[in-house]
Amino acid sequence: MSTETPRSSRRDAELRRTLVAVARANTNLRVRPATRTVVAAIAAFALAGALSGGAVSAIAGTLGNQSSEIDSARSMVQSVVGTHGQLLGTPLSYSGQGSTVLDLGSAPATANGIAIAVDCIDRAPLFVTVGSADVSAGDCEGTSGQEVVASAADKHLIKITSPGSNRYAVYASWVKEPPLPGPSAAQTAALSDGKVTRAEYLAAFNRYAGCMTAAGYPLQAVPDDYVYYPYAITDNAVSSGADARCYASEFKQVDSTWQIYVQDTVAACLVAGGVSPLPSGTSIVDLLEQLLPSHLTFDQCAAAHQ
Amino acid sequence: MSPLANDSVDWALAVAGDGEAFGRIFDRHRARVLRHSLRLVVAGGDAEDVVAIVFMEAWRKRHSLRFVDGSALPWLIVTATNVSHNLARSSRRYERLLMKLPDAEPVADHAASFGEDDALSALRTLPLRDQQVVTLCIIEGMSEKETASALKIPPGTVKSRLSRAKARLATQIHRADHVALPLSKEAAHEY
Repeated sequence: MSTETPRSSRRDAELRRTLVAVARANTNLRVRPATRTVVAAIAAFALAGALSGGAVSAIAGTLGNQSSEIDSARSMVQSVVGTHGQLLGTPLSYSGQGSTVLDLGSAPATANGIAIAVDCIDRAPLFVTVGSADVSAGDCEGTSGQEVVASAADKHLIKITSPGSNRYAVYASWVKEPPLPGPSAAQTAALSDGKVTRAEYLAAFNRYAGCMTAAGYPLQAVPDDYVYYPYAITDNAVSSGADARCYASEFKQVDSTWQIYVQDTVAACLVAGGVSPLPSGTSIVDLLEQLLPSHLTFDQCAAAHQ
Repeated sequence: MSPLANDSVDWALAVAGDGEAFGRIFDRHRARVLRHSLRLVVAGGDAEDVVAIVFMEAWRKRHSLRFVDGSALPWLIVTATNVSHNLARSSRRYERLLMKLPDAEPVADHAASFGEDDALSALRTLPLRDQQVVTLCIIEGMSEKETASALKIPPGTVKSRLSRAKARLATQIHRADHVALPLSKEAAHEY
């Protein structure tokens, strides 16, 4: 085989500059998962922080102790909770394959939520619920984590449904979080008719971005996209709690309602075209990808399935 | 410090916010990833996209990125193989980034430039899982144990896939002496 080295180019230089900038900003492009239940995520995908110490309830799984995967999930939980929340009780760690139900045990007296992270070793569908709240659905890859409000008695049960033999690790802990603000007047007004237009979605996004800037954590990257806005925030924006506050106040319900509208519209469009849409809860990014082979745009779907 | 050790150290620095550390990993492996991608895609410009996607994927999965003996290269090569296999889907996530990058410089008939037309054509017809073991064991010269670690499969599976892939390659190359083969249905759809 040849050992010739392809020469570097202007494109390589620009790509390198982008990679350096991304790492320097320590940011993560993301689209929050839409939630169809009211007891929903209060903080979403974020970056890793320091590892925790202390006792851990390591539940024996089918894979034994996949320590690096558990470490990834544990650091994700730490990061999601950040400096604004507090881990309580004995966390749970598990690595395995297939479907299972894990019991986090009784909630400590002051706990008001659960932080959970999943590290998927194999990219494959994985469905995770905490009590009755969906926290993960569809294709799972890498590490993702979030917090869920623990308001129901069954919240300590973590149910994992895996249709295949894909491998994963889970780390979860009770947490105590400061209360979040309710939706702002502007967000409430946007939701008053039960629907969210693209203009309302965009306005709410801009209010969220303004709130983050005012808190000292401006959004790091906002790629222009016609249907949705993936964006990037810093680790500190999550760990300080600013992101959770701004998102709840200005954007969360509008964002979720818009994403559900987009998902339902695309799904209807796919079904009409004889294509089975990915499962409910699949990210908006993955669902829009399903339109690509049919060369349909979201606008065409929206016009046909109002 | 050995070149291999640099990857894991630089990666830790990059994740901690040292952008130049990520740049050093890019500098270290860009050419290898591009060369590998050129073997798997038909158009040279697509290989440039594969490189960009692979490094962005590395960042997106930075907390689960795996090192083999301290090197990120096996992970990058495996990811490049996966991305090459389904470039349209992989490109969607980084569409805006790819559009912002300057156009790739024209790459002349890269199969010919590598002088491996038949072998490359045969490699591209292999199922993804076979491409992965051929790439790591034969092209990159990794041991079966290292390949098993990179792919997270048992060494015995590496051995059996490699044996099957060699047989398929031999058959394809032998046929190519006589006729040009289209992609088989199996090769096009098996993942």
